Order: sequence, then structure tokens, then C-alpha cells
Amino acid sequence: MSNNSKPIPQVIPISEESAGHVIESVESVSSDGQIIITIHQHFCKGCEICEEVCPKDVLKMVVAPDRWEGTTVEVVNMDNCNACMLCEYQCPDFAIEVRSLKKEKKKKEEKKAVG
Amino acid sequence: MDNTKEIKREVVFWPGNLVVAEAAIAAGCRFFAGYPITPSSEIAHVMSKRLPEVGGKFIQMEDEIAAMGAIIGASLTGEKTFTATSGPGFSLKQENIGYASFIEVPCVIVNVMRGGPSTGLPTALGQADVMQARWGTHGDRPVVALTPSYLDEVYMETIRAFNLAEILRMPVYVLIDEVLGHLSERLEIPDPSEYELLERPRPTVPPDEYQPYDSSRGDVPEMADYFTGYRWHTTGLNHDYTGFPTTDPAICQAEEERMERKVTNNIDKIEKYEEYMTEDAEIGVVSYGSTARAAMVAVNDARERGIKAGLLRPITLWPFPEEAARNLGQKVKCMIVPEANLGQMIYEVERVASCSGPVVGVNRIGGVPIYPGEILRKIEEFA
Amino acid sequence: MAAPYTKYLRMNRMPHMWCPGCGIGIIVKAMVRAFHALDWSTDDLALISGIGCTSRAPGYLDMNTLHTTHGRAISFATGIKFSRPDKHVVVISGDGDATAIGGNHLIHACRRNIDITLIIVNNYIYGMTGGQYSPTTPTGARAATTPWGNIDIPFDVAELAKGAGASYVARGHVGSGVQLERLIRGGLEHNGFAVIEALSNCHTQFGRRNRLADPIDLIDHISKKTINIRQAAKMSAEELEGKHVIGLLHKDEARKEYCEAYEQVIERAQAAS
Repeated sequence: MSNNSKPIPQVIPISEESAGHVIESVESVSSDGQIIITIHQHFCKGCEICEEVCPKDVLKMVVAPDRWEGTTVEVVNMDNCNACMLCEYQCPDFAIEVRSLKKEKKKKEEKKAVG
Repeated sequence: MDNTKEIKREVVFWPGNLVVAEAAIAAGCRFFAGYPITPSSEIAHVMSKRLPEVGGKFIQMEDEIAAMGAIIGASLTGEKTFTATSGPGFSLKQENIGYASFIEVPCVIVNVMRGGPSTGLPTALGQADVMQARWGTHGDRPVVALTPSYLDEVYMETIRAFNLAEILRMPVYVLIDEVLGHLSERLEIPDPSEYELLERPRPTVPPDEYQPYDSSRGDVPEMADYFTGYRWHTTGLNHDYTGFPTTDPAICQAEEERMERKVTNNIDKIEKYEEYMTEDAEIGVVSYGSTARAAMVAVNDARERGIKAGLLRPITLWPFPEEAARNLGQKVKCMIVPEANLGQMIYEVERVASCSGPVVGVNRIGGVPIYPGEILRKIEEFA
Repeated sequence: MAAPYTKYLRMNRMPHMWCPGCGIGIIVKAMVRAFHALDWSTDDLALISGIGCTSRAPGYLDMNTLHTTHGRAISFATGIKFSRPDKHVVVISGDGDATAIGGNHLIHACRRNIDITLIIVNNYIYGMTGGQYSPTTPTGARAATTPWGNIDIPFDVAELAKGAGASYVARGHVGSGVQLERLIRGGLEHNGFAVIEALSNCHTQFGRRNRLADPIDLIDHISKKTINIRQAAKMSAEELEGKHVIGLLHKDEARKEYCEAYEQVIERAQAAS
């Protein structure tokens, strides 16, 4: 069960209220390169809804003292993810995005066929 | 040879409410939202007929508060908008009037005043809203209230109300009363070439540089119309130049003081009054609206009897013409303030006039106009 | 991802101010996905709100946004839409804002059938102001102003809208963001007054006072009380007791939209004069 995680630290311009907090987005890519989970850790408030709704145990809340609420979400089983998108639909904080390159390709082809 | 172009004016015999409605249309208003309330309803009747004729929109809302909300919304899309009401409706609208003042949206509120308080005397005269006009909503905000006395003045002051609302980015009141609303007078309708129509300052910068309360180019910020690419936010919460909420006391203070300056720094454009026989006056009369018509007769009668009376007639009730009142007050030995209420404007006169003698009222409620004779008797009492 | 969310967000105002786990974020996201699915330009969108936690939403969205007075958002939206009928006008409001102080504006907008979409976030409480009970707080529940238990009967908001004449009425909940997006999209597409009631979790104010302090527990509690309209059709009144029916509850495309009806008034008036 290999896991291809590439943390990409990004310093995004911050409003004054969040001065001092380190801003990072973390992208996790599946071994076959087809599914990408992006977590905007500076938006995550540690509510645990995503971990709860995920049917495949992909996500886990971890302690993170320098984050907004002291916790954040991490991808722990990337290759379990089947891009059901429940975490994205149910996250209230715009903190998690899931991309399935296979689905995107299919959508593009469908559009071409119709248009 | 006379080279001046002769302007042909239409001569009409109209009641005051009709004059207000037609003047609004002449001012470029194409959106009215209102709620029926005596004695202002005829304004709504006329607008409901005339606005669709000129391609405008009329809507009777479910209550006074909604009417105020609707005209603010429509103004945000760039329209010149107004509503018409009377005392109780004016009371209901106060929260949204404060909102319009604070987010700085042009609009006109016509209040055809009636007897109060509460339901009061719906079909009769009152000058009940002097202080409500100034202080009716919580918090501090500048106020402009126009108080014409004759129907040709009603016409031009209604147009002026729209102009002032636009250039100052604020709600402006036209305060008339039931008598002016319902009486008919002969008047000549001014030709459009005789007056200017003014517009709100629109953005001079592209959307990515625009801020809705940017006062770097003047105390009246530029206002972008909705749906023109300027996607801005505003709120009734105290806000800064970005339109977003702030609790910073220094910013709150600076912004509210800037709003006050919109009026105090533009007094020359706003203030209007009539001084009748005040140069050598020994008794000063201060009166506005339909009451001032009786005051004018009383002053003339007094002069015929050898009493040097003079009349100061505010045409802008707010901001109160302080300098003119002080000039009169320092000259005369007594000031008389006839009002169709138990004394409201008199407090302003007392406050600013610096009169060495008494400031007294002639007060009548109950819906009956104050007769010239009553004012004359008061003048004679102090002569 | 289902939508390029950042295209619709005012990124310099994020992260938003709602509590961790608050359902408002889920509902706003569903609304953004619906906007994206319809490919509407943000220049043509106006989002208006009143007062409350829900009413903070417009500040975070990059469109023509207006945060108005308590309960009155619909009247401002009416002025905006009636003046510019070709634009998209959306109101997002809480249960107190829309059905208590704003009740009159709600029922008249339904009756008028003006093409505005109203999303009512029903979290059964006045959240922002400290947890006072609202017209949708369940009977018996505890709130800041019902410490001995609520004696009021709550509104059925969807029934209220339907009874007042709304031509599109739907109910969704935060347990299913997918369904919410679909219901909101249907309302946006509908040419008339559309009301989407979105059942939501305020665990901070409602939940904590009613032994449902965890957001997941409260969302679970709400989800378990919902029953899909198709299933509900097969159930008896007793079985439906205490349940919230979700889905598209009512749609009437035959009703004339208000601005279109007024265009005909303008035509008649101009022909006559």
C-alpha cells in the first residue's frame, strides 16, 4: 500500500487576522497518479466531518499545534481513495478538494461528443 | 431687441401630491416602491399609473419597511428611486433609513406629514416629524430635509431632493404636510432646460482598484452600479473603506465623521431659506411648510399695523439654517415659532438664535391649520 | 473537484468565521457548486442576506453582495431584481431572519412569485446572538430564552412557503451536500420564487443546550429525522410523525413570474398613453 505524498508548502498572502499562522496546502497523489487530494490546511478547522464521512478510511485528524484549531486532517491511506467526493461535499471549510483525472477525462470526452 | 429665448411652460392646476409625483419623474426617477398611507397615497396612485407609461417600475410592497428596502435595492442598481409615506410609516422606516444613510445609498423619502402621535389624524395637517426627521434612527448620521411651502417650490425642491441624494450619496427627505399634499394651486411646470439633473459619482478606476468607501478623492465616495463588473460588498455593520465590517474605533470614528462632512462641507449647495422683511425686523417669525403661508400673511398684517415683523422661512429644515436664524435672533427682541405641533423646531431656534428676548411658540395640534390671526396676535403681544 | 471554489470566493476574506463543523459552510459550498454548474458570471449575480450567522455568507463570495437589516433581505432583493430582471438574485437567510422578523416579506415574495431564489438555513436557533429560540426550534428543546423547554410549535417552513404560493419549494439538509446542490440548482433555474430550506446543525448554540454538542452527532440526528419524498409517499401519517420530508416538494412552472407580468403592464401603459 504505497503512498505518494508531496507536501507543497505555499505561503498564500494572509489577512491581518491570520498573521503569524503558517499557511500550507498539502497535495496527495495516488500511486497510479489518477487521484489527487488537496488539503488547504489553513482553512481546516478540525471538525472531523471528513474523517467521519469517508467510507474508505483515507483521512485522519491529527494534532497540529500551529494550526487554527490545534488539529488538522491528513491523508493516511491515499490508495484507498476512490474519489467518491464525500469529503469535499461535506467539508464546511472549503479545505479539501478531490480530483479524479479519470473522471475528468471522461467528462471532457462526453462534452466533445455532445458539443 | 430682446434676445432671450422665451420658454413656454405648461400651466397646470394640480394638487401637491400630483406635483411631487410629476416632479420625481421629471427628475429622472424610474422606480417607486411604497405602501398606502394617508395623506400620501395619491403619490403612489400617480406613480403606479405614470411609471409604466415612461418605462419605469412601480411596486406596492407589503409594508413600509419593505418599501424602504426595495428602493435601496433598486438604487444600488443605479436607479433614482423614491418612496412616499406619512408619520407612522416614517417611524417604521427608520431602521432602513439608517441603513441607507450608513451604506450611503441615494434615495428620496417624501413624508406628507399628518397629525400624530401614533395613528393620530390621518386626514389632517400636522408638522409632527421635525425631530423624527433629524433623530428618528439610532446612531449619528447627517440629514437633509427639504420643506417647501408653495407648490411650484414643491416641484423644484423635489427635483433638488433627487439631485442632492445623488451628489451626497444619502437619503434625502421632502417634508410636506397634508395641507400641501391636498391643496391645488396654479403653477407653471418648469421646462427641463431650466434645471440640471445630477448623478451620483461613478467609479473613475477599474474594478480591481475600486473600494466602495474610498474617500481619497473626496468625502463622497464613488458608487458603482450593481452588475457592471464592480463586485463590491457593504453592510450595516460599521465598515471601513472596503465595505467590510470593522470594530476598530478609530476607523469607525473617521468614517462617521466623514459622513457628517458630506453635509457640513456642502452647506452652500444644500441650505435654502427665505428671508422676508427681516432687514429691519424687531419681531422675528420662524416658520416652514404650510404654516409659513399663514406666517407670511401675519407678517404683512403686522407691518400694516406698524409692527416691524420679519419672517425666516427654512426651505431646508435640516440642516437647520443656523446662520440666518442667528442673524435674525440677534436683531429682534422676540422670536415667534408657529408650528402645527407642541413645539419641535422651536428647540433649534432657541439653540442657535442667540436672541436676547423670548423665543415663544404658537402651537396647534388637532389638525386645524394655524390662522394668520393667531400668529398676528402673538406678534402684537410682544411688539 | 466539483467546482473551482476559489473562483467564487473572496480569498482575502477566508477562512470564514463559522464554527468548526458548522453546516452553513456545507450549504454555501453546495450553492457555489450550483452557480458553477449553471455557468453564471459572478458579475450577474447578487447575493443578499439579513442578520445572523448565515447572513455572513455574502461577504465571502465574490459577487454583488449586500448584508442588510434583520429580516429584510427579501425586500432589498426585490428592489434589485425588479429593477434588473435579467440578473440573478439570490437571498440566503437563517430561520429566525426569514420566518420571524422576516416572515411578512417571505410570504409576500412567495405570493408575488418574483424570480428570486431564497435559501433558508434552518438550524433551529438564533445562533449569532447567543442561542435564543426561533420559530423553528422543536417543542421541548432548550434555548437561551427557553431554559425550561420550548412551549411553541415550530413552523414547517416548506409548508409555509408552499401555502404562501411559492412556485418551487424544496428541502435538503447538511447530511447530503450532493442533494442540496441539486435542489438549489433547480431553484436557481426555476423562473419564479424558489425556496430551498436547508436543515443545518448549530451545535454551538442549539446542540450544546440539547445534548448534541458534537457537530457529527447533530448532523447525524438531523439526517435520521429526514425521509425522502419518494419514501414518504408510501408512509402513513403516524410513521411520518416527527420526520422532515426532503427533496423537491413542490414545483409549479405555470405561474406567471412577477417581472414578466409587469413588462406586460408597461406594454399596456405605453400603448394607451
